Amino acid sequence: MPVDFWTVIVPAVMAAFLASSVEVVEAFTIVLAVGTTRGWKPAIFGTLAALVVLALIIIILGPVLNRVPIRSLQLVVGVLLLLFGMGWLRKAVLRGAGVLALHDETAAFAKQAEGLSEQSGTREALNWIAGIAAFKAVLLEGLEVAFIVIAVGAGRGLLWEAALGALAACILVLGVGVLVHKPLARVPENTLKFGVGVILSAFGVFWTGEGLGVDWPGADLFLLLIAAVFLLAGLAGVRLVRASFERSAA
Amino acid sequence: MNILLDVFVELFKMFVTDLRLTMATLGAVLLVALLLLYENLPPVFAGLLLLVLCVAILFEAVFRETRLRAKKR
Repeated sequence: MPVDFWTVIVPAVMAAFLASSVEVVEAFTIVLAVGTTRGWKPAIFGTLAALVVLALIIIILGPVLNRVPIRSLQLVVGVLLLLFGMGWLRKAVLRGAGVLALHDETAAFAKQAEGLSEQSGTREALNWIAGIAAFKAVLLEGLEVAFIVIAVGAGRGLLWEAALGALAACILVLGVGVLVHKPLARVPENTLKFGVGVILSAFGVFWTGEGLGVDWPGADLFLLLIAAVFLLAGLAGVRLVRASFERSAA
Repeated sequence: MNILLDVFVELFKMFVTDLRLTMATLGAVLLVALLLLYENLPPVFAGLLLLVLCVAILFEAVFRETRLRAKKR
């Protein structure tokens, strides 16, 4: 087993899997609302069209990334991961502390279904609107999945491994979704976001550092230490913020 | 056009959920890069400084948002 299996490959695949689970659950809610409100034809058509666009983006971007020098790639990807990961961690801490409301898939489903039901026009026009809603949902959530796969995979040539993690999440979420046939409201979205925020922020610091010429002590093992620091900071943040928020309410 | 605009807005929001957090993080990376380049800071210290700055930025962002939300209640 290669040395970096537990320190780089597993965290990269896990980040891709967990982040993709969150995004696919959100996309599934919208596609389900479209399917149950306007029929499955526009829902499936919109979804497939978005998947084709996403595949084209990845096919075009993949070879371009291979030509970028690894140091520059690590710096750019590291900074983007830092911004993305810390954004997720911030939101997860605020939600965990009760400052922001938790994301509610059932409410999102009801809102989308209500919006589609209120539309008026010919059957063909309504199908188009429904198809475009599914297309947009899958494309926008899929873009985040594509970014995460590229970001956690590109820094060490792990694109295929990260893509497999994302694909596993898609299959799992869609499989469960097809079985239960309702919004996946019981997925612990905030916990997943917290975990992904920790891993992506850790990758962000690690690769930004490498891109700037930092030789981390213990090489890849240091990634785990950085992740532990973000994990402890996030957990402490939830407790401290909750206490501060409750004090201000009293 | 509307879809394209939505895509760009979504891409922007992916990295800028909180403008001050984004600017502070970019500032931290720039500061560490400058210290490495002009002050010959040992690379390991530079990496650790980046980590500490990021955690501090995260704490500032969550407490700022908490204060804001508490005031609105």
